[in-house]
Amino acid sequence: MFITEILNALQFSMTLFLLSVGLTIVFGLMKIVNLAHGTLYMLGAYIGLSIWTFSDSFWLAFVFAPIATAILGALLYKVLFKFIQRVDPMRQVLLTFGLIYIGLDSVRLIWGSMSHSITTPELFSNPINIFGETYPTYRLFVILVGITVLLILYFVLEKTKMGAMVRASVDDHETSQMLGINTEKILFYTFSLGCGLAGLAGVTVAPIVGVEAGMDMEVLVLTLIVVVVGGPGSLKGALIGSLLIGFVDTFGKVFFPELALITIYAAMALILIFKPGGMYSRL
Amino acid sequence: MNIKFKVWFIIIISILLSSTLSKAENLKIGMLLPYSGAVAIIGEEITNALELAFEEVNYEISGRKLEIIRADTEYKPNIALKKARELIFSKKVDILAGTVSSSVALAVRDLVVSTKTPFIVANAGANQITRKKCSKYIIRVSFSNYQINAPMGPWLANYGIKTAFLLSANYAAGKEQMSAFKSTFEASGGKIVGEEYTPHRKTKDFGPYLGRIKSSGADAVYVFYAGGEAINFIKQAHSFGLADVMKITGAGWTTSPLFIPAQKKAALGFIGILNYVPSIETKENLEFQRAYKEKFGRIASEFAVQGYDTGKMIVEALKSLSGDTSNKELLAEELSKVSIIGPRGPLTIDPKTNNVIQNMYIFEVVNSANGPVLKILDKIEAVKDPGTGCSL
Amino acid sequence: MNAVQYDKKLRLQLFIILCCSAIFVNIFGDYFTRFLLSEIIILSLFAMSLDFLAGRGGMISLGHAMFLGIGAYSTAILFINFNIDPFLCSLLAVVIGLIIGYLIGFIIVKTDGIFFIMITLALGEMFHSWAYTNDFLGGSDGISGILRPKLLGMDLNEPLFFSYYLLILLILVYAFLAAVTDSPLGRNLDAIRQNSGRVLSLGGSVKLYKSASFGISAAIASLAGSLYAQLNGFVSPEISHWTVSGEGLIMIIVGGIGSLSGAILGAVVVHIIQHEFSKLVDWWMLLMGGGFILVVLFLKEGLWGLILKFKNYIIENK
Repeated sequence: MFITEILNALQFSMTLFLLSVGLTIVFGLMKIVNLAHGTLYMLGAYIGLSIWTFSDSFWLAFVFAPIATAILGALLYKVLFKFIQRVDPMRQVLLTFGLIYIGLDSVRLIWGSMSHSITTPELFSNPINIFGETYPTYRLFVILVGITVLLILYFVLEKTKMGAMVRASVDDHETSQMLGINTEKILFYTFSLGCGLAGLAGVTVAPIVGVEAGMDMEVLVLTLIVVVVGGPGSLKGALIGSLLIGFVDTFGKVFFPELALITIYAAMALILIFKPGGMYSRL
Repeated sequence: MNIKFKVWFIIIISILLSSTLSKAENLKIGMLLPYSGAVAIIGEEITNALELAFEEVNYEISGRKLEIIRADTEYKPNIALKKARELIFSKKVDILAGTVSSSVALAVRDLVVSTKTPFIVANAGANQITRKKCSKYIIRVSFSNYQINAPMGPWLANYGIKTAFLLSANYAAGKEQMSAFKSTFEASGGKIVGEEYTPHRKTKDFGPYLGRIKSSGADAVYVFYAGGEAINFIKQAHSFGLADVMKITGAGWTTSPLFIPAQKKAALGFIGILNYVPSIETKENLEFQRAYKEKFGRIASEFAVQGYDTGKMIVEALKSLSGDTSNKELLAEELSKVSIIGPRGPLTIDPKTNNVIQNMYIFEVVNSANGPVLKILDKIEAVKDPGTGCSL
Repeated sequence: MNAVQYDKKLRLQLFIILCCSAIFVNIFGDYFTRFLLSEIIILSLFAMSLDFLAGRGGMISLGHAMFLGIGAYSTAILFINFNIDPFLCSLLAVVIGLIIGYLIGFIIVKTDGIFFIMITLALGEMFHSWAYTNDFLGGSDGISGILRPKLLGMDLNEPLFFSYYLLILLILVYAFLAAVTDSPLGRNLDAIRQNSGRVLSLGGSVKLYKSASFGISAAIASLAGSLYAQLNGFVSPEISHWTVSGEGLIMIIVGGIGSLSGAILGAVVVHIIQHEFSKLVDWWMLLMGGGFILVVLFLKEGLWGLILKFKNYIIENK
């Protein structure tokens, strides 16, 4: 039972990581609280659902849904987000709240109000036996996706010139600009990538948690929690935050099921009271 | 006076006239249901089927037109109460119908009783609506949570299940359903080995609970979920191989026709109980399912059936009054006297509580050429709610 | 956070116009319009509490609906379980809100920006979850049977009287908040919002001022919650959900932050539009969302900014 729970926690953490990493870096770069991040996760799942329904192939959905949300993110950036950088955070909140409303109804108008689900791909349809406990292979795949993305991002951010420019822009926006870094371009790509990753999270977990209107809000709150607990603006923070929240939530449900609703909130409140800037902050 | 002003004047006057004219004639039915957000599908099902029932009489009773006024409750009690006030005081509806959620029904309860507005409960299952908080103005055609789950206790015990694990969402309806099953199951010699209540509408991943249930050693798990939670629970239980070690049973909404298309084969083997399953082979049901499919392109769910029966009851009651709704007390009384044979079978309203007396169907999800279907294993006739604490 | 440039005279003018229209509506409206008016006044109280917190204190709270909940539930319990007079219930709810708000404020005001938003969100959600599953508080079904007060021989269960009663409370709260804004506390809060480090080094107690303003704001939200429970006759956990705080914030941003009257205007406009849209189409959220985006892009200081511009335009053209 213990191994099952550890794997569950790890799988949940990796989903949270996919969701929060884009948000945290965008927040670090642009100081934008993008409340519509969960909406892109939902759209990723819905677009994946459509691709899967038409082509009957999960893998096509898995590849193209994130690309679609990344393009959507790029459009949103060009049309809206570009203009609300460095404005009053309250107005950012209102704008992104507006996007949540629009996203919720668009999804209902396009895909109807039924709850849907994507069938687990054939390759992962059978559970495997790990030390005497049966565990669904698809969840192992989700963990794998998370770790792969983590490694790629780590490599890009820490070992390439592009990554160095991103880190520099997070640390000090003005100076980087003076040094000739095209921060505008960096913002554009990071924002689109973040949206793509949210879409990836949506389509990846759709076979487990389904596809329905309203899935965005639950995930939004969780993602924001991860971002502030980890400390906004850094890959490491997103990872630490995701693991912490993933494990606290899963083991909280196992050991204190009657407190399931409040464990993560309590954890966050405690962390913020003692570390007001999050566990690992670049800001 | 210039021309523009004249045109506006005429338009405004004609709007005012037409609205006063229509007010005098129509029979107004206020629908208090969620039409937006995650639960909108249930509101749609109930309204669709109610319209079907009204179409059968061409929206007309004794020369008066039937008019449906929809009000979106957003699944929130405070919004619903506001909309109910608007329907009663501004729109002057004759009958109020609806509410998916029990908390919404309880929120409007005092209002409908104090304004003597006949209120047909088309889904909300909280026991107290027809027990402690019953009223002659509140008629429930759907079910009480006790009514659905209680017959399953003895039935499962008889089926060979000796121990059960309870799992449902942590809110009033979930707890009521579980306690109804628990009381009759224990009375029939069964034993509850564990129970778990998951955060309502916030549980996406049942992984942390499935491990515990699997290792509990129970003969069966008894669950109640609806919507996305039902889909996720069934699929995840399947992927963890729960059915290999115990029987998955529960309140029938868990594998409603609304959710089966998404659950697919994962739902096979589930044994549930509900007031309606689409596979009932009566002429009323076949005809209803055909008409529903023709118009809306999908199988009608139990929610739709409740909406249809609500519509039928309204039509019958208004017919017997020849469309005269001036006396609300009489209207409520007439509504509770209606007895019909609907898609779910014979329906009457219990004169002691105003809760519906209906059949319960115990079913198993089995495979067919068109994917999983609900096969009826047993039918329990004329099930009542005890209605403890109600005096009409 | 930038509060709008506020013009004391305009603030009062706008407030008087809003009050007069409320009286007009109350006299000529029917039963339902009066009910809607009462609801809007209560929401205005809530919006003003948020406006004071955000506009003066510089704190954005996504958990303020918790205090609506605290006010509503304490009113319900005091009335139903202890048979206390409804008017006294509301007074006690204010005191309870003040104390809890001050204590919570004292712990959390050291966080800033997004961290403050999230910690308030966490507290609000914890309260909501607790109320949702607690049997004493009626769980997800809530508590019903709450009655309105009888004052000076008038039964406030009559909607006409109740909306006047609410209007008087609104005027009192407005006067109080306007006075606090212009008092030394308000000046200190303005200074802290602009540069908290400097206030600290000048020897001002940032923490004390901020938690005091959090307490005041919580007390007003709690009053709004208490009145909301009396308006509806029942209370359910939905009142303390974080999206209610979010909607409150939307109201003050649409109205214009920091102007008090703007918050009321925002509450009026957002609430009426939402109510009317939801009658027209099922996809009313799409229209609302589009509206928010337009406000952000084209009305920098909300409706208040628009009125300010209009006033300046008139003055210039005189």
